[in-house]
Order: sequence, then C-alpha cells, then structure tokens
Amino acid sequence: MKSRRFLFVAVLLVLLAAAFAIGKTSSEPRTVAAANGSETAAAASSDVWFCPGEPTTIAPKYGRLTLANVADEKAEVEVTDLADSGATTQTTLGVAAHSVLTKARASLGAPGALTIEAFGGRVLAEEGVEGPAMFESTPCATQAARQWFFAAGTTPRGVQQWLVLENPYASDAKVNVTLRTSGGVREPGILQSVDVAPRSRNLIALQNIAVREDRVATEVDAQVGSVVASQIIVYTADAGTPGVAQSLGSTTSAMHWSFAGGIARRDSSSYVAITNVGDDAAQVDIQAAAQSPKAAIAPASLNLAQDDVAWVQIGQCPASSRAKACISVPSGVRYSLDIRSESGIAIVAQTVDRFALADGGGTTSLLGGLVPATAWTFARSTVPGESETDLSFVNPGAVPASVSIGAVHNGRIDNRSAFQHLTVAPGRQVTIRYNGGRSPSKVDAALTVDSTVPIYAERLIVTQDEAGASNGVAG
Amino acid sequence: METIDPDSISEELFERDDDTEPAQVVPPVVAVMVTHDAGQWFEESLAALGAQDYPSLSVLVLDDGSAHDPTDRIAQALPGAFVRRRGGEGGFAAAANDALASVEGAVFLLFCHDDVVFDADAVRLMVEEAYRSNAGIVGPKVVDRNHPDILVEVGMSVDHYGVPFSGLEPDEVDQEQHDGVRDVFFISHRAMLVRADLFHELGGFDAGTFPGADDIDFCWRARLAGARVVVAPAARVRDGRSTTARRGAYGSRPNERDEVRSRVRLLCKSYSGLALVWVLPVAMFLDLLETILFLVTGRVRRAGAVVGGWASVFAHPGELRRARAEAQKLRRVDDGDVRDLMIRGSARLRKFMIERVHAGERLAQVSSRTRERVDEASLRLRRLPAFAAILVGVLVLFGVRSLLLGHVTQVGSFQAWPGVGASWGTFSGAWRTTFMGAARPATPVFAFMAVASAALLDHPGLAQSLVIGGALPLGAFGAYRLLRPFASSALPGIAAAAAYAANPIVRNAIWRGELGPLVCFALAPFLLGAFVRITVDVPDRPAGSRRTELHALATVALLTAAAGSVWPAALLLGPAIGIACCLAAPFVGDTRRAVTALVAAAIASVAAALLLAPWSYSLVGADAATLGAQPRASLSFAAIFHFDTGHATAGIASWGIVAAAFVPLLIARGPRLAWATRAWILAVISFAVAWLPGRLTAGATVLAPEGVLVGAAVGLAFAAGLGVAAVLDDLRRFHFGWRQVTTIVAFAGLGCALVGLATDTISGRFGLHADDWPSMYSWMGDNVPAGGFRVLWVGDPTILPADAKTAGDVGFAFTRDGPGDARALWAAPEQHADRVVAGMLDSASAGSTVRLGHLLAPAGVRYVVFLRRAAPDSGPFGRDEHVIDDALGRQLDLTLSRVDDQSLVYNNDAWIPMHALVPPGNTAVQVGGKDPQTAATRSENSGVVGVAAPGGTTEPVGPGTLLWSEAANGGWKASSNGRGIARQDAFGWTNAFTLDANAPVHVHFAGSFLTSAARFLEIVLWIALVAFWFTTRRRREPLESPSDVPLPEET
Repeated sequence: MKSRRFLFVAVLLVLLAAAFAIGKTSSEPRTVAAANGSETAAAASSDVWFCPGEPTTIAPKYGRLTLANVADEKAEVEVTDLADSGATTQTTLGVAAHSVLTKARASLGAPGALTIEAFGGRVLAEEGVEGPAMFESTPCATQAARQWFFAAGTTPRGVQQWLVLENPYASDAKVNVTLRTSGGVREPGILQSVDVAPRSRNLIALQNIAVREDRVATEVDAQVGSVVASQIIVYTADAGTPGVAQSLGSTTSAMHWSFAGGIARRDSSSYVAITNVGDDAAQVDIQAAAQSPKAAIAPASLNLAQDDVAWVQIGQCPASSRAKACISVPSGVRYSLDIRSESGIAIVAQTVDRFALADGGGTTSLLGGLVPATAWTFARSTVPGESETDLSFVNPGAVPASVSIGAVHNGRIDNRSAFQHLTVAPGRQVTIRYNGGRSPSKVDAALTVDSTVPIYAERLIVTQDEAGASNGVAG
Repeated sequence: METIDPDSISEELFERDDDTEPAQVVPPVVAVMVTHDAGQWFEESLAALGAQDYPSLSVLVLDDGSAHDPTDRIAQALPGAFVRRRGGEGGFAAAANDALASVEGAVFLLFCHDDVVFDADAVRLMVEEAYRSNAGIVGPKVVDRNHPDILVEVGMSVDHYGVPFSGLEPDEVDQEQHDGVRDVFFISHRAMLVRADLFHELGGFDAGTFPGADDIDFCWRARLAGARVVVAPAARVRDGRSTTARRGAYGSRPNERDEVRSRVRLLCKSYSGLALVWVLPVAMFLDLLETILFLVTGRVRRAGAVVGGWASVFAHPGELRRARAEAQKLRRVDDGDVRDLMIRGSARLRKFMIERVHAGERLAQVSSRTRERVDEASLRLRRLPAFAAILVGVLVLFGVRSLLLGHVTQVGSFQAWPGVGASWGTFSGAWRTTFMGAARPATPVFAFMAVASAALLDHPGLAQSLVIGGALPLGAFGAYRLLRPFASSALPGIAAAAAYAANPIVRNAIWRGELGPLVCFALAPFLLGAFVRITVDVPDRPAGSRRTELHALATVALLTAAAGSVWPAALLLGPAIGIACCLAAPFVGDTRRAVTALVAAAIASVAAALLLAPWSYSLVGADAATLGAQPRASLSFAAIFHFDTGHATAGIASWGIVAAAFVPLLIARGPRLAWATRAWILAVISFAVAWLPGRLTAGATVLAPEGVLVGAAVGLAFAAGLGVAAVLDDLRRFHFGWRQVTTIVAFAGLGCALVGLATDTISGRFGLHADDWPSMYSWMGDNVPAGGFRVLWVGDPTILPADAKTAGDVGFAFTRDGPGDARALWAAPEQHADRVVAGMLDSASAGSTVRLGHLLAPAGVRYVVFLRRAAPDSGPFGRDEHVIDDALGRQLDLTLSRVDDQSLVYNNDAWIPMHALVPPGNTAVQVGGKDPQTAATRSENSGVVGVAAPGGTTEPVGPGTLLWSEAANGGWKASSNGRGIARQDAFGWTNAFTLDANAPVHVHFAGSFLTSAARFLEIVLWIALVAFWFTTRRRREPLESPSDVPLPEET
C-alpha cells in the first residue's frame, strides 16, 4: 500500500506540476465571428450614409445629392431629412440597377443633415454643391464616430470655415472641439460640451471663434454618443477668387498619410496642412513622387511641436523659402505625396489647393488616405459645366498595379478599353483624364476602380469656374 | 581435519554423522567460513565455531585465493573442519556460492567471515529463532571484538537507493535496547544463517553485486520470494568493524567504483518497473549531488568512482536484464511490503547526522516529546469539536444572514421566484415562454419552486432565500456527515465542513448569481456520501444489505436529479465520482469497489435522467447555452487550483484547503487513504474539466467554473477531513519528521481559509449589494401597454439577469413585460426564432443594419438594455462588449432612454406590441414577408395597436391581422365566436391570425399528448422514488474504525 501511496503522490505531483507549467496563461475570450450559428439575411442588410450638408450661407438651391447604385439590382433608398428647423421628413427614392441619380438637395426637404438608408443594391451617396463659382461633391459618411480630425482650415478675412456636426442617432451627443491654430492650441468654452441633439446637426462658424487665423486645424471629440463631422471652407469674393472646399473629416489620426493626385500649376497655391495631435513633438517627412520617374523631387522634413499645425507649400517655392518648408515640384508635374511621422507621433494631413481656371478658380481640400484598397468607387464622374475629370492613383506597394476603370450608368457598365489594365508602378502615381477635352461627356456615371494590388485613388472634377476633389469609397 | 576434493565434499560432510547419530534429531547446519589471507584472529574464530553447543554443526572453510595456504592453521585450530581452496575471483559471493554445489543434506547454512567470533550458543539460538519465526535468514547481534559492550550491528536496513544503514550510533553501548527479535532488511554475511532450501532457490549470492551489495541483494531477493529476514539479538558474535564501514573485500580498501556499480545493479534488479521510474532518477540525482560534493572538496577520484560505477552497471545490458528477470521471477510480494523495512530519506545523510552531529539522540528526544504532544493534542482535539462546530456554524450563518433574512439580490439566475400558480403553470405548460417561446417542457425546478412556495404559504421569496441562503450551510453540513463513517470523533467532519464552507467557489457562485452551481455545491457532499455507502465493504457485504444499497442508490439518483434539474451539468457529477473510483483502483486496489461505484453512477444517472424526463430529453442536442455553457475568460491553472474564480479569493488563504487535503495522502492508512486518493482523483478530474477547455481554446464556451469545481471542492474537503482523522489516529505512529511539519502547515492553511471566509462574511451576501437591475428597472413593468412587450437584455451572457443565448460572443436574453422573474431562466433549447434574433444582433454588430429596432419589432421588443455588470454596484463585470455597445448606439431607431455607469437602456422607436392588430389595408407592416429581417426592416408600426389578451383571450378586435409574437409554430390555435382562425407566419418567424370581424379571439398553444403523459409519469416517478427512499431509510452503522487498528511503530 505504501508504494502505491507514494506512486499516487508522485503521479499527482507530476500532474500538478505539468499543469502549473503549461497553465500559467489566462486568456481573454476569443472573438467569435459574427453570425456564427445565427441566421442572417443578406438581403436585409441596409447601407446607411450620413450627409451633414452645407452651411446655410450656401443657398439651398445649389445643394446636390447623388446616389449611385453600382449593383445589378434595384435599390430603394429612404432619405431622412433632419431639418434644421421643422419636422423630419422622409423621402423614398428608387435607384435602378447600375445607375446614378442626382437630386437637388432642396427637393428632399429643408436644409439639414440627411440620413440615407439604402435597401437592396449597393448604393453610394455623395453630397455637394453646384453653383456659380462653387462646386463640391464628396462622399457622405458611412458611420458616425467619436473623433474627427481636420488639418486644413483658415480664417483670414473673407474666408469662412464651417464645422458641421451631425448626430443621426436617437441619443444625445456631447462633443468638445479643439482648435490648433497658428496662435496655439485653443479650446474655446463655447465649443466644449457642445450638445448635438438627437437627429440633428450643429453648424459652427469657426471663423467667428478663431478669428483671423492663418491655420486652424480642428479636432472633434465626442464625450457622449457619436457624430459625423464635415468641414466647409468658403472663400468669398473678399478673399479673392470665390470657391468652396468641402471635406469629410478623418475619424482617426495616423503616422502615415498618402495623397494620390496633385499637380503643380503655375498659377496655383498648393499646401499640405499637417497638425500634430500626438503627445510629443514630431518629425515629419514629406516625400513627393512625380508621375514620371525621371523627375526627382527632393523630400522635406519638418519638426512639428505638439499641437502645432504647419502648412507646407507644394511647388512655387520662393527662392528665399529656406526658413519655411516647401516641396519644390516643377510646374506642370503631377505628383503624389507620402507623409510620415517618426517616433510614433500621430498627425493629420490635409491638402488645400487653389488654382486659376478660365472663369474663376478651383478650390479643393482633401484629407489623405490611410488604407490602400484594391477597389474604389466614385458616385459620379461628370457635372454640368464639366471641364475635366481626372482620376489619380498611387501605388504604395512593391509590385506594379494593374488598374481598370468601369463606368456605371444607365443600367450598364462601360469598360472602355483605354481605361483597362493601366499600370501603376510601385511607389508611383498615375493620373488619367477620364473626361474632358473640347466636348466632355455629359453622361454622369459612377466610376469603379479595380486594382490588382492595393492603391489609393482620388478624383478631381474641374468645371469652368470651380473644382472639387474627393477620395473614393473603398470596396 | 580433512582437505577434501571439491567433488566429494557433499558426501563426506555428513557421512561420519551416519555412525554417530545424535540422540536428539537436530537440523544439520554447515558453517561456511570464507577466508582470504586470514589475520591473527582466524584461529580464535575457528575455535569459537568448534566450541558451539549446537550438536549438528559442520564447518567448511572456503579459502578464497589466500596467498598462504591456511590449511595448517585450520588443522590446528579446528581439526574437524573441511577445507576447500579456490581461485580468488568473485569475492565472498562467488566463494560462498561454492556451497551450492559442495554442500548437500544441510538444513541451514551459516555463512561467516574468518574474523567473526561466535558465542558458544550463537548458532543454536539462531537456528531456534529460524524455526520460531519461520525465518529464511537469521542474523546475530554483532558486538565489538575487544569491547563486547559496544554494539556493531543488530540487523541492517537500507534506504530506497540501496545504501546500507545500521541505525546505531558510534560506540553505542549494548544495554539490550535492541534485543527484541525483529524483521530487518538484511543481515550482513559476516554471520548469516540461511535456510539451505532458500539458498538453493535463490541461486546463492549474486557475484555481480560484490562488493558492497551481495548480502543486501541476497536478502532482498529472499524478501521478494516471501522469506523473512530476522535478527536474533540473543545470538551474539564479535567482530571488529561495522558493516557500513566494511563493505570492501576482506578488509581491503573498498573499491568505490565497484560498490556504486553493485548498488545500482541491486536497484535495477530488485525494484519493480514502476518503482524504478522514480527510484533510479532520484538515486542518480543523489549520487550527482555527492559527486559534486566530492569535486568541491577535492576528492576527484571518489567523484570519478561514482560516475564510473553508474557507467559500468549498464555496460552489459543483456546480462543485467537477465539478472533482473531472474530476481523478478522470485517475486511474491510487492515493493510496498519490501519498502516497509527501508528507511526514509538518505542513509548517507542519516549516517552523517548520527556520526557527526549525534542528531539521532536529539531527534529521538524530539520525536518522543512530539509524540507526547501529539497524543496530548489529540486528546484535546477530541474535546474541540463542539467549539469548532459552533465557530464554523456561526461563520457560515453570519455570512449568509442577509440572504436568509433579507431579500436575495437578483443577479444572474437569482431572479425572483414566481408564485405557486405561476411556477406550476410554467412547469406544466406546453409552451415555454423564454426567448421567443418554444414547444418544450420546463425543468422540474419550477415544480420544486411551486412545492416549496406552497409549503411556505405562497411565499416564494422566502423559499428562494432559504434555498440560496441555505445552500452554504447545507453543503457544510453535508461535508460534516460525509466524514462520519471515517472517524470516531466529530472533529474530522467539522474540519471537512470548514474546508468546504471556506471554499471560495460557493461565495463566488453567490456573487455571480449562479443558482445551479450553488445547488450542486449544497448537494454534492450528500451525493458523495451516498457513493461511500454504496461502495463500502463491497467484498464483505452481508446478505440482506441490498436494502441499504438500494437506498443509497435512490439517494444518488434523487440528488443527481435535483441538482441536474437546476444545472444540467450536475448529471455528470455522479459519473465523475464513479470514474474517480475506477481511476483510483490502481493506487488503492479494490477493483470490485471501483466497478461498483461506476455501475452505481451509471444506474443513478440514468434514473436521474428519467426523473427529469421529458425535460432531460429536450436537452439532447441542445445548444451549449441551454446546458449552462457560455463563453468565459480562461483561467490559469493556478487560479483554478486554488479556486480563484471570482471576487472571493481570500488571497492565498484558499491554498490552505489544498494543503490540508494533502495530509491524508501522507499519513492516512487503510480506508482513509483509499478514500483520500479517490477524493483527490475526483478533484483532479474537476480541475481538468475546469481548466483544459479554456487552455485549448481561449475564451471557449464552458460551464461555470464554480459549478465544475464543486467536484474538486467536495473532494478536497473530504480529503481534508480524512486528514484530520488521520492526524487524530494515524500521526502518532510516526516519529517526528516532515509529516508533523507538513500537518502543522496544512492546518494552519485551513485556518487561513477560514479567515478568508470570515472576511467575506461582513457583507452578509458575499460581496453583493442589495440593489439589482430588476429593481432599478421595475418601472418598465409599470403600466404595461396593451399587448405586452419584451425587454431585450444584451451584454456578457454571464451577467444578464435571465438565461442568455449568444450571438457570437454577445449574450442576449428576453424578459416579458418588464425585468421578468425566474421564468426567464432555464431557457428552452435554441429555436429558429432565437437564431433569427441572434442574426439580427449579428447584423447590428457587423454594421449591416442601423434598424435593429425595426428588426426586433416583431418580437415586441420595447426596450433594449445593455449591461456591463451583473448589478448596478456589485457583482461581476462582464467582458468588454464594445462592438455591440457601439452598434446599439449606431441604430437609428433606438433612442437612448437611460444611462447608468453600468447600463444603457434604449427605447425601441419601432416596436410593435407582442399582441397587436394590424388594421386591414395597412401596407406599412409587411406581415407576409418571408425573410424575417427584410420584412421587419421595411415595416413601420404606424396604425398598429396593441391588443390585451389576458389568459389568451382578447377583447373584441378586428377586422385585421392579429400579430401573436411567439415563435412561429403550428401548435398555436385561435378561435373566435367558436370558429377556428387560420394561422400564418408573420414576418417569417412569428404568428399571425387574419380576423374577418370584430370579436374576442382566444389564442392558445395545443401541446402534444405525449409530453403531457411524460410529465405525469415524471411526477409519479418522483413520488415513487421519494417514497422508496423514505421507506428504505435505516440507521447506518459506522464503517470500520481505523482508530481500532493496532498502531505499528514506523520511522
């Protein structure tokens, strides 16, 4: 019996020792894939878009909403107008398969934010303005978020910088707005704990809060709930050539930003605004890559203090610009931008372009891309008064990308051979003119971009008197 | 004196005795003296042999290659002696083995060295003792040649690694303190009387174990063959050196390398294969330490000898294997019996302590004093039970006072019990109202609730308090009773009760609101106790004891069924005990008892399943959540091993329970050791089940650890109680040593565990506060709108106040018309409608929909509550479920209604009452949609009105479509004005009835006859088995009292 006793004790101790040796770790539950064992209905899935809309200083009649259905089934779209004043209204629209539908914003209800729910098909929504000396068309947001960032903003005389906060949900949202200006970081009391009522939007005229600031970068933090934030910069005649630049914010800061398209024009001012939203000073490297491999562009480096915001000029560098960062891009050269922050400090980068046109001036502003993708979609390609539509791609990878473009309109997809299998070399950008020339096509089409490797894609639409740039919608 | 030819020695040795036949027949003894270059004492030794008073003694002197022929010296000293000369190879063993071939007719062989002087009566006394003790080998007391009052050797022992040990201190004076005849491990061959037939059976000495271990090997083999080896101290011889100092050949300097080889060979030959698994590595480790010591102290040659010895023993594996096979062929006893005469620990260390530190004397004093103290303490401890029982009882009752006297905090499955009618209705109803409803039977728990509440004059709250608050005291009492058969004192039972009550899992089960594990905890000791009664004395069970056996079996079945009705996994506790008994069989023997336990477990489990039918049948193939398994954070083994499963850990205090449970494994004997072994195996099974799934898959869907560890808790509490019983009855058998120290440490640990329990008793409900979600959200149930509604609870499935299913890792549960009560527990197995809801939550989590409110509208969901904690200010926190949290915040049709630190309540703007009328022509509600999500997404509640339907009968309604928000099932029947109304699926997953006219409508679910019949049989079966249990009760006799067993002395 004794030998068995010790045998058992020995076995027990060995087992326990082994269990202790391999059982030290405790782990958190795995994340089970959604829909595991549940019955989902793909047909029921709804796409939702949140369009914060434009400020009321822009006449409502110029507002536009474009819906593109790139799927081969009809979509039913329910547009809820969260009117700034008055009751919420709903409009149901049908969008045929493979078609684009642009509606005047005014036809959908009083000024306010829009919530667009699509049932069936695959619908993209862009909102913008089309009017004299004003054009913009940018994708609406697919989700609200707790944080939004804008790097480029300015409030000199004649320039209005609007921040639009939409709360599409049935719960209140409280947000804090932080401004990083040329005069330092500011947290105006009026912009703290701003209540954004359920299913409504707030219009904030930053030019009245950060008065006469050269550089105003904006950060929105939601303490409660989540919101959608967009920024509209309106250049009035007091600021020279009128124009509008609208951009949806970025829901995150990052250490790496990419811009696919840019062109150094002789009569233009191009900047990339960079703000340091991290918790320490950042060294930021800015690398511009020309479309032609023969054109080498020297990179620039920038030390950016915490909460500082800098505008780096692209092209047109003055001879005495050593004290200021400037990327010397020769006129006429198309380029892409790659902006990186060292030491893990998060930054936000956004371009601002103003350039002369035949009947006015183009004004665009674009936040950089964060994640490349193999498929991009743009809801529209052509606007009235069209001058040209360019698509720019940059390939951040190490292998060449083969890019094909399709045009979705009137129930079909056009795959013009000229836009098939375009090669984008590694690290390079390519800009193609999709529409333009003496008689630009008037067919408005949704553009689908398919690439063999992940790329970034941007669209620039230029009219006779304005221009608008936007990123594509991934996927 | 004759010099004889080796071939003729056998005849000649006894031929002369033919002529001089002794008057008294005595067994012939041949003294085989092996000499090698004999010294000056040779003649004295021979003369002493010649002077023996034993009448039939012949002397054969084997000269093992002496340089000088000793024949003349022998002739002068002992003329009658025979002499045989041989070459000097093989040492004593080889020389002595010549006796195998040389000697015939002798009954005993007396092997001796050439320097041993026998007292005149030594041989006679040894022969007499050989007969008296039926010994195979007998040895004398050896004293110093020059100082006969100094002891040299009185039998020898070895440690587990083959190192000899005499147990004598240097120059220990012979005061007859060792003069009792006793079994010893071996007798050195300086003077060894061996039965001749045994010598032949063993094949003589193994020359391979010479030098140093040939006599040990010989005696070890003799023991394996079943022969006794005794020392007869009355027979005395004189010699010059102790055996441990003289392991070389004939006084030469010992060859240490060969000695190591001999010793290792000895181990390899003699131990069983299983024992070798641990003996050889430990021996090697000890020798390695010794080698290092030699190297450190500059004795390089000796270090090399140790290494060389180990290497050389395995140089001829074939020969070693053959030698081992021959030795093992002799085996008639197992290693355990052989080891009884070995010393614990290291003989070398002991020798060092005795020789250098004289620690033996001190240890003896300490041992003696300790034994006195232990006896004294045992006596005092026997007076302790009353005090201890009061202390434990007060602690336990103080800890649950708020649960017993106040209201039970409604966390987890501690939801309020409904009244008698509602409970019985739930049990007997054909339609379960959990989730979207199901045509499944309910657990008998609802019948128990109804009976308990009725017994308390329809006070379900009191019944619930008694069950939840009484579980801990009941479990502790069960643990106390569990020990009764194993101890003459109440103290072991109280210790078991204390160890069980102090176990943190019960406090954590209360803290988490886990009714199933809690009930399992309360009943497990009684279940184990029934197994003890079933299996006790199986081989000797007297005729007519079948009644007791059946009673115990009925007890197991009833307890298993009762626990299983609350927590289905409890059905496996009985089989786990049976399996533990079987796994313990190799260690404790008694296979028959193990098989009995397993068979009893199987029978009882089947009986329990029958008692729970038809509910148990519905569990076959059920989803994991129905069986109580949920995604849970994986615990480390250390956490599981000391029951650190939640809030109540008491730091390291719970390790004390584990330490106390180890005690019986070290000191218990007989049935106590056997049951301690079984209890530990049960604990190991429990630990493994609690730990392995989480180890294999992080965050796996597992049962509540508080429930799974009940097996371990009851096992260790049982073992701890057995440990106390062993301390009272067994510990005094042992000298002071590590056992006593371990026991003190272990029981200090048990005290710590009690302190841990004491600190947790302050709140009166083990960390829970009085507030709970149902109380906080009781407003939901105020002014229930016509048609009723559901509340969807979302969050970590382990913290929701209702039985939860999962969508991915997200738990969800439904209650009706407010926070609900216990009827939302023990949900029916997952149905199609439940999966539809899970799919909706998945869609929301994945961002596929922002209309979750619309999706849930057909289910009548008016509120969606997201919880982060089991109760507003207490209880466990749930996992971070930010995905569904964010998703709910993204829904366009959910309005945030109430925000607390640990919860969010959303109003569903799109909700439709559970019973509602859609007016004719209303196209906003897509009742006819086949796909649940598509239909619901595009439906609006405008124009839909709720319809009150108390008892299933509505007020006059119609025309239109009556929505009946239960899972779509053809069993739902509606009638109006005596006419049946056709049922159709609504939204693809609920029910609708098209009403042509305005009239009251009666809606009911038509259950199957078979289910009703099965439920009736279930009730009959319960009554019958309980009646049987009562009628077969009788007083149990205590099992064999281990304290009555004589207490042999042990070292």
